[in-house]
Amino acid sequence: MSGVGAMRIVRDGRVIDDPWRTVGAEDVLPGGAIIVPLERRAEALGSGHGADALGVMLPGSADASLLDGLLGTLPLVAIHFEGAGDGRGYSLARTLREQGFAGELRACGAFGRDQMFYLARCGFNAFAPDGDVDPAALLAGLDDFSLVYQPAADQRDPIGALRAARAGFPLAR
Amino acid sequence: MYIYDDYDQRIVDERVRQFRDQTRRYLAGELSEEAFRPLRLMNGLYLQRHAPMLRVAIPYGLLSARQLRMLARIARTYDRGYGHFSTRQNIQYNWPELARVPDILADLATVGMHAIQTSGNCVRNISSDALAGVAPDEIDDPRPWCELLRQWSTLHPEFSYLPRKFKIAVSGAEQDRAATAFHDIGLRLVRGADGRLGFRVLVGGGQGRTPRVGVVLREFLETRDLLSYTEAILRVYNRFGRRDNKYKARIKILVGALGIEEFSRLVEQEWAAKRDSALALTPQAIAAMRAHFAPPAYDPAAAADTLPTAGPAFARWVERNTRAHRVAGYRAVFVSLKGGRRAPGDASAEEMDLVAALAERFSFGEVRVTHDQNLVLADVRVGKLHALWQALAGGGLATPNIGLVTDMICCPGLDFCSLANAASIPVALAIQARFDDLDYLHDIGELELKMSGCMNACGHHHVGHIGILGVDKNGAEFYQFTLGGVAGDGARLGERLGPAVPRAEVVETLAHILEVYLAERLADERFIDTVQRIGVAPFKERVYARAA
Repeated sequence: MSGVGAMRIVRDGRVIDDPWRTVGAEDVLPGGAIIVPLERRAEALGSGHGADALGVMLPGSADASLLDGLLGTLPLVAIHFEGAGDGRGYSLARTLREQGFAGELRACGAFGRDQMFYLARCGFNAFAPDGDVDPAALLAGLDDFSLVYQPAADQRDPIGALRAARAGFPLAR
Repeated sequence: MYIYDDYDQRIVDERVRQFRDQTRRYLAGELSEEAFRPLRLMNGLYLQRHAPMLRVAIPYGLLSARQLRMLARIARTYDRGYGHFSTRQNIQYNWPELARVPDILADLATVGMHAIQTSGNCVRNISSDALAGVAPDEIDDPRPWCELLRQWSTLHPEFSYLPRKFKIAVSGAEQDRAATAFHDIGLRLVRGADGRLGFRVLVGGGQGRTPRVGVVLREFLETRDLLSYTEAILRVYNRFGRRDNKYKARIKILVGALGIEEFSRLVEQEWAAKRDSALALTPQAIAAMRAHFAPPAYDPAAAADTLPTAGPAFARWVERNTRAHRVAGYRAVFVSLKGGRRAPGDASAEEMDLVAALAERFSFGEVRVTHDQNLVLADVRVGKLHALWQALAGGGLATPNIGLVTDMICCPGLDFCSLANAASIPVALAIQARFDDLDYLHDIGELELKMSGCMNACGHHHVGHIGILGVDKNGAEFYQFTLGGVAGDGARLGERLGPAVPRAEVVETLAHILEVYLAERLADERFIDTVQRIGVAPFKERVYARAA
């Protein structure tokens, strides 16, 4: 999670140079667009950082209520996956999208191409995993399935809605 | 039954393609064992004692004859000619080769089957009543609700990395034949005060190391809310379930730690935002799903069928292995996979083919797998029972022991499973050999004997009328007996009889327990009723008398 130079990440279905720098708990705050641990946001604002160039990092275990009142202001929320088996970040991401967060939702930490499809469905639109993961492989993971059974944050029509349209009966809502 | 449409088919085909690529990357060294593990588990693939074990999903235990033939073909082509039906109504193959598993999944996909989420920390196969749709005491058919849950839970993006596995059972009858009180979520179809259909929702039941009877989370849930409410429960569990200790990670531990009131408050809070989302079930979606489970074309002339008088063996089989049917002139027939030298729940490819053929000839081409590891032909005309019995007997599948001592549940144990502490199949075989006298068995009557080879309780020993748990004592196999467990209505955990006995004394211990029952029972009292009336003390005295 400590600061590094421009990395290749996946965002909105493309491989890009990361315009954000991730800053750790102990790092000196650099200029430009930065992602800081949530606890350091006030400090960054106090040192003159503009709110629109200031994203926050949360562990997957965090409660969404920590961002109450901030969701309209934050340009980016990064959720850090501590271990591959820790699925709390999926629920946190979906909850933030359900609460109306429209900015960049970035997955960081322990995941790979085989989790991409699920992560994207939970509302993540940017992906910066730990380690030496080929961004092109990550992109491929987004297309593991062409259909879905359940509604989620990606607004894709689930199979139930496709069937209803075929049969000409109304949808829920 | 539910038949895949082009959408379902595309999902399973894409799943095969995905797993083929994951297996290729693993075998090529591009994917570490650690990264591959959850992926293979979510396709039912374990690395076991001798070889990988592949668990194939049989949603709520329902199979077409065509699907059963495919299971036989897989047993023959990729395994050693047999399969093992499990207590969660699935089938397991013990000898596949890892590199060929993608081919097995491709073959399964051709008949609308898969191994999706048969293991791993995700929502597992939904289990149900093997007599769904035919039981006279049914309030509503559970299968449409099971299928709605199956589809909702399949590849669920939010719940594929839960703290631990998650099991759901649905029962639609007065009598609970799906052990709903021993699932993470148990759903009972009920009629509300105004006659409306809904669910009583139980949560936090389970077996394993910390057995718990599920508690009522909601007395009445509207059917339209089934998926939204289930999703709310899963979200609370995913957020707050423990992840620091896998033995404390099931939802039962969370429910116990928070208390049911606080757990319920959290669920209601999540649900409030979801209730009117796209998860709400429309009357049309429910009706469309029900149509898949419409009754077959029963012959009204069957009502005049009479049972032939064809000797005591046939009469005994009818009495023991068939059950009442809601339609006059029909019976549900159990095909026993127990007794003799058969490992409980095992079936050979030839037997599977035979049952598939008999299903087509006698039961509208459908077969069910029961949670006690037998098969059921659910729609057999009374007038055809004799012909069916002869065909089953010819194939060694007519042992009249359903519900008796030798119809025991048993996990694979030390012979196959890498978790086991003790053997279970050889002990089961010894029990079957000792109690093979049919008159004696029938005299003992209804008795649920359940055995697990370790405390993970795959053999459901906690809820056996007699439970047997294999334990390791300094490298020797010992067996702990419990008495009085009940899986269905009046759900309760068995009580420990006393110190574990060595393997060589298991059969004798069981014989002593049965002796006490025969001496103490009143008239037609069942074993479980005698235990509940007199307690375990008289059994304990008899079993441990020698030590005194």
